[in-house]
Amino acid sequence: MFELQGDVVLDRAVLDDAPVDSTAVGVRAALLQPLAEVGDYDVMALRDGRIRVRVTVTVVPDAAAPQLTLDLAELEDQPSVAGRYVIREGGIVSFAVGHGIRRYAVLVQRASAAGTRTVLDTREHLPAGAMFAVTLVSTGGHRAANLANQTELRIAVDAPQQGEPYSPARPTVVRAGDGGFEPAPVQMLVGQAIVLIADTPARFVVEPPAS
Amino acid sequence: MPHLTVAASEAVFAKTLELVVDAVGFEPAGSHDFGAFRAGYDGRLVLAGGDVELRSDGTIRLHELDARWEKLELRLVLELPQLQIGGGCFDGPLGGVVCLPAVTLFRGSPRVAVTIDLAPFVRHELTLVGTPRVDYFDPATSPFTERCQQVHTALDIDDTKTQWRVYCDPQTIDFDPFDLADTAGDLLVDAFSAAIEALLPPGLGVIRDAVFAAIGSIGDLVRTLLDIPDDIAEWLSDLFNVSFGLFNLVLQFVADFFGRCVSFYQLDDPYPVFPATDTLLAVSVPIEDLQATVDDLELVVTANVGE
Repeated sequence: MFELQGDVVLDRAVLDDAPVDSTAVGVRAALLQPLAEVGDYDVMALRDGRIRVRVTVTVVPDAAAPQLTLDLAELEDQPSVAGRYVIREGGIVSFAVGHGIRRYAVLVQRASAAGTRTVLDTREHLPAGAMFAVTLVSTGGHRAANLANQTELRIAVDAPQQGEPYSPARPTVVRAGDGGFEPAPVQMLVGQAIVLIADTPARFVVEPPAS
Repeated sequence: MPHLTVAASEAVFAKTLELVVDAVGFEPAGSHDFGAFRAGYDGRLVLAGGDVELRSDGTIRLHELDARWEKLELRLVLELPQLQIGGGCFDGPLGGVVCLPAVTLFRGSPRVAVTIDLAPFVRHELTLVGTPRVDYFDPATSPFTERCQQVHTALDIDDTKTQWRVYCDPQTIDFDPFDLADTAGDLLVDAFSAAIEALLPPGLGVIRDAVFAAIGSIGDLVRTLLDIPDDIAEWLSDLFNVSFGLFNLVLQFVADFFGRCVSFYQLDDPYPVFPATDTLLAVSVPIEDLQATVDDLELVVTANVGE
């Protein structure tokens, strides 16, 4: 006999198997951007054309943290938690959405004496070095594409079999270059994430099987 | 030489024991906060059977008493882990390890309360060796627990009169500690499985299978959540024996029950000799110096009639 207590709400957005696009980060996607140069970065998350989140990430040579994850939905809901973030030189900032249906475009700019330079603008192409990760929540033949060079990748997603070793926390990594995706095609298990690494400017879309 | 001598045979004792054990109903309850989770219990213990042996060393042995739980509910309340998919780490393109944020299926704290009845899995045998203890009962001054009062009501014992009472005061009590079988651990795992299944509605489709596959063994999950090193049944036994201290509570209950609550023999003081008639008042005599001894044949009670 059991009794569920506490307020527990299933995040239905997680189950939304709609196509995912690197121009806007949603709940099943994450965008990872290396920040190679030391300095201050102005990080903005935009939704419906308006800036909803704005934080500063400072890259220093000797910071302890090599990676920083920013939950854009949480930062929008609780601006007070936003602050000044510090990561190590060459570290990676992950942009994610922890819950809900909101999607954000991400703009990262670095200000220097020479002026302001855009490091990342997801509304345009992702720069080489950026990574786009998507957790796949349905079985069947998925398709990933780099719309920047019209290459595509077939992804076969299977359900875990009973008794079969299964580790969803083991992403499948695919590089996306001028010649297409490598390795290709790929086979995965549902609940796993695929990471598309842009070796060339890219705009990724990941689509579920055609219904 | 005493004025009064009364003897009660082993058969009389046995009949008294039979009546007494039928009235036993120990209903302990308690809880303990373990930090990561909270555990509580609610039980009802009854006694059955048992034999009486009067022994030449002056002791009374009650043995082969079955102590059986009519109810022994264990309730565990704990936070289930956030169920997640995705995430994980990989070798970054520029070296180092890169980790992805996982996708969390729920918002809020998935707290679950699991209740299992362990009564069918627990059975104890009780043996008690005691000596006769004489007590003078005065309704106005003698201490009396609420539990004892309930037993007296059930046995229809008259507590309005002053009496000499002879109890079997326990010197040793042998009581089997809690030793739960593996099936009790399985029951706990099954209850947790049901809770997690309820948390993952069928509408989740294939993700439901994926989460279950990711969890792997519910038994392992339960062991992790409750910080159980290995054997769940052994942990359950320790929970009752040590953490709840229920083993000691039962011993205390048995000691109090036989030693202070239910007497095997009682004698009114003053003792009525002649009832009142139309012309004469009732006659009763005071009883003094009551003593009780046991040999292998009978309980012998002696007393003097006072002035």
